[in-house]
Amino acid sequence: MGCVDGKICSALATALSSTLETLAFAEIDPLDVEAYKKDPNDNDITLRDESIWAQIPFVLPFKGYLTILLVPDLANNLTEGIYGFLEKDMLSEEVVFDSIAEISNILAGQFCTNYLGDDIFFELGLPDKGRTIDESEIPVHDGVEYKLDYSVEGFQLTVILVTDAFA
Amino acid sequence: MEKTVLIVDDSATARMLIKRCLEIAGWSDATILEAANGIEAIAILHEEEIDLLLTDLNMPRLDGIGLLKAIRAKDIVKNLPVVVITSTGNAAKEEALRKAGASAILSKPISPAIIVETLEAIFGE
Repeated sequence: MGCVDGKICSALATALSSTLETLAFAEIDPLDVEAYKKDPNDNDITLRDESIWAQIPFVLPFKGYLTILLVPDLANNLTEGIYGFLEKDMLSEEVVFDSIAEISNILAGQFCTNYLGDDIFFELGLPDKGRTIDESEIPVHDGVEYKLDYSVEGFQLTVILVTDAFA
Repeated sequence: MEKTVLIVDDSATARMLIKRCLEIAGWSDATILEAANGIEAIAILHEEEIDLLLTDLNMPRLDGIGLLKAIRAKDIVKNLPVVVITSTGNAAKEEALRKAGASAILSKPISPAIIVETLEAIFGE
């Protein structure tokens, strides 16, 4: 399911925009992947094939998961932006995984703040992360799934929200 | 006098971002120690004299609330300023953390400006 719920879509887009802009000075644009595949425009966008992913559980007041999947080059670029690395060879996979997990952590927190407001107590779990060429290898969970795609610096970034809270 | 700061977060990226904010905020002379969870932090607190502790909440082994409670229960460090830096901060969480003894609560991502403001409020500098 795409973003059919305006409140979720808005809370997520605002959270993603502020998280990436603050941490890595990166801007986001919504991306319609199917439309782009049919009619690629002049703005070349690298779609995901292999992905770096991070997943964080929602613990309270609802159960669910937020997963982000990125083109590995984008994960490297965001990590460089966060750390301010000048040398590419300073980027170990461990550092990239850790920075993407921290992005998912902050993104999930900002999403909950935007969606729930200031007066509802919420808790997140610990993030999991990895690299895959097969999306089905990423742990899946029961619930309604919202899948949103964005273009970030010319690369595809996907956010998947799974929870029963929004059903 | 040069201060010693303990940063506690299971993410090396988060620790680096906090360290950078401290440097920009004028704390570049401080000695920075790091721990990846509350258990490691308590071990450091037994060995070192710490002036300020900045901690995440969500961590494996011993989380930030557990660490905060352990600190407030120990006579030697019970007055240690503890700043909680969390991705789950809002008004509801802030009230609970204040009751548990947090000196200040900041939401991730933090900025040097908010660190300056917070440390000025704590140390009056």
